[in-house]
Amino acid sequence: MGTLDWIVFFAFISYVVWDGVRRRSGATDLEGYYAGGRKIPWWAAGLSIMATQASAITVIGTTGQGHERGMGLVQSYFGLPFAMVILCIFLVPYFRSRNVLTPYQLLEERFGPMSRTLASLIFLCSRCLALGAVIYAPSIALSAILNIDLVVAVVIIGVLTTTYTMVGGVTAVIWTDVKQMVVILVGLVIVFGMLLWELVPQLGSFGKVLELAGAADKLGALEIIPENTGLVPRTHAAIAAGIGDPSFWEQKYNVWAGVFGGVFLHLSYFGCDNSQAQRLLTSKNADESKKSLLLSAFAKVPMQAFVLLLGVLMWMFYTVTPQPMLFNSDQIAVAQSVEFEARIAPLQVEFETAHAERKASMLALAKVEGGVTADPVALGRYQTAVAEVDNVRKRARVLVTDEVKDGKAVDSKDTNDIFCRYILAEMPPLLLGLIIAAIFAAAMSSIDSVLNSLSGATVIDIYRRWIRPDCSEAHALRVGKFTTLFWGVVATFTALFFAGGGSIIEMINQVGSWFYGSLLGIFVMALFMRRAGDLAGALGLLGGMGAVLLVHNTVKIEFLWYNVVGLVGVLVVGFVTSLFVKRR
Amino acid sequence: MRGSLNEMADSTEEGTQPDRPPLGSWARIYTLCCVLAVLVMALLYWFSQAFNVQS
Repeated sequence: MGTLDWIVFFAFISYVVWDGVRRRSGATDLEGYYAGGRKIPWWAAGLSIMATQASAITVIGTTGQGHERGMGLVQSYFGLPFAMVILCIFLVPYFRSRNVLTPYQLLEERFGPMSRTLASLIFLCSRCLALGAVIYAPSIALSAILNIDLVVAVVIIGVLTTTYTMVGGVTAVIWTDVKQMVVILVGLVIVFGMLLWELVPQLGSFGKVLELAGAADKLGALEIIPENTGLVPRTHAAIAAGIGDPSFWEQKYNVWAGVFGGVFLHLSYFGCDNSQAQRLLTSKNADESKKSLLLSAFAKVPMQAFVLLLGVLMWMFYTVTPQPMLFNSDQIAVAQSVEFEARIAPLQVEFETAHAERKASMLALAKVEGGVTADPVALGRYQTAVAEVDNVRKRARVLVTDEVKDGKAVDSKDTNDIFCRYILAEMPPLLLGLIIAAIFAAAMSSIDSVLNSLSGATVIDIYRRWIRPDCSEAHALRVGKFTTLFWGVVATFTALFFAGGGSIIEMINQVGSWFYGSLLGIFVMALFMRRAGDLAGALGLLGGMGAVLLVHNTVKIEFLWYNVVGLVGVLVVGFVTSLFVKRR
Repeated sequence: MRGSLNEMADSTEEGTQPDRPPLGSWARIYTLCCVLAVLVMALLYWFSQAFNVQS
């Protein structure tokens, strides 16, 4: 990074922190601190919702997914617009029917204190664990990009974000999110433009670029017929014994999983996770809240398709220009070590030959008249070359990872490193600083929302409900700021703990998905199961999590479906309990 | 059930007035949102069919 890039980067970060801190004038009471005084315009709340979801690892990882696997990931967002409409019809009017500061407050009114407290604790536990990962993941990328120690990157992100969130409350969170979202979008559009600038002159036209990317099977954005059609999920015992075929429930990316599984995932995330649901409480009324949700409904799928296409174009770029065999800095360092140098050298030669063949076969295919399918021989040559490059890269990753798990060699993917490697090598000065600022912005916009929402649930649902119900507004506000700081410190330390063992992140993400379905279930019960009381609500919540735990340990299904399992578990246990225990 | 949902939907917070919905009614907006979602899926399906060649 040059001086100009550092100036742009520091200018942006300083501006965001200053902008967040100056919003403190609106955070003079709990309503201001956690609901922005109900004065936030719908478009700002809507952009904040989008920015919170677009974490740094989403920006980096989604482009990497596009590079490695094409556009199939976009299908997992297909349920989002429908989920938003359902939320607008049912949950938004419910949330805005009372002046609440967390959605869990409504559960006490409907069920009783047990259900409310349990729901809030579930949110606190799941989010607290995930927050460490939210800081840790972008820190890896930023430490590589900025060439700083991982611990330093974690501390910088943690301290800066905690500072403005603690001082300015949700108003600071939302308005900084707006700027961060704009920078993220501008950054991505610049990268897109740069890629087209390189590719179109070499290949002739944008249509030709798409044709050649499609010929490499990178543009399959919609899979109607699932790869696996069996509806009976396999048990772990059957998988261990090598019996049975993979079921439909094991596949993540097809249109059915995206629409149906995605609806439940997004209903749970946007409706019941306080880090998102809190936005719905910040606008002046229910109609404004609906508009803020619908902004994501209209924009999210096209935006994800755009980001994935950007990853595909990055793959095209690395086909016409030299590509590194390994993208991850640690893997590159291992490959260059004395121990591995001799073993990696033959693979490097093989990779360069395969890469040259991929480029030559692509340029040959580009000259075929009548489209890429007009010459099956040229198409076959190109597809073989594409597969060969992937094969050599995989062998190289396995070699440098040098680890065996369950009898298989571990392949540590470098999907999240591709975007960083590209911008570091290809972006001109000034733009590099801006793009890195965009990655930093994406990290902060996710962390700040979670910090404020964790603090809200702690103060409103726990402290003011159980510990000091009679405390003054000023006292509660001070506690609110302190708990923001507390959660910021916890998150930073959790992220530092992750620095010692990256594999924990996957486990945390899995654990997080155990809770969402249950939270959705309790709100569905609140709306539609009139006979259910506090005990039914609380037991339902526990039953939902128990159902997910049972399914997780018994059969193999994608995490997307855990939300449905949790939801059904809550409703069944809640309903059965309500048959025996009458609502008071 | 319908009654209680309508009750919730109609009960706005004190001192706030509901805005005029975009396009005149929320039902229209929701329909537009779902139709556009299906159209985007159809567009992506066409895109996949037009450009992608499975290897």
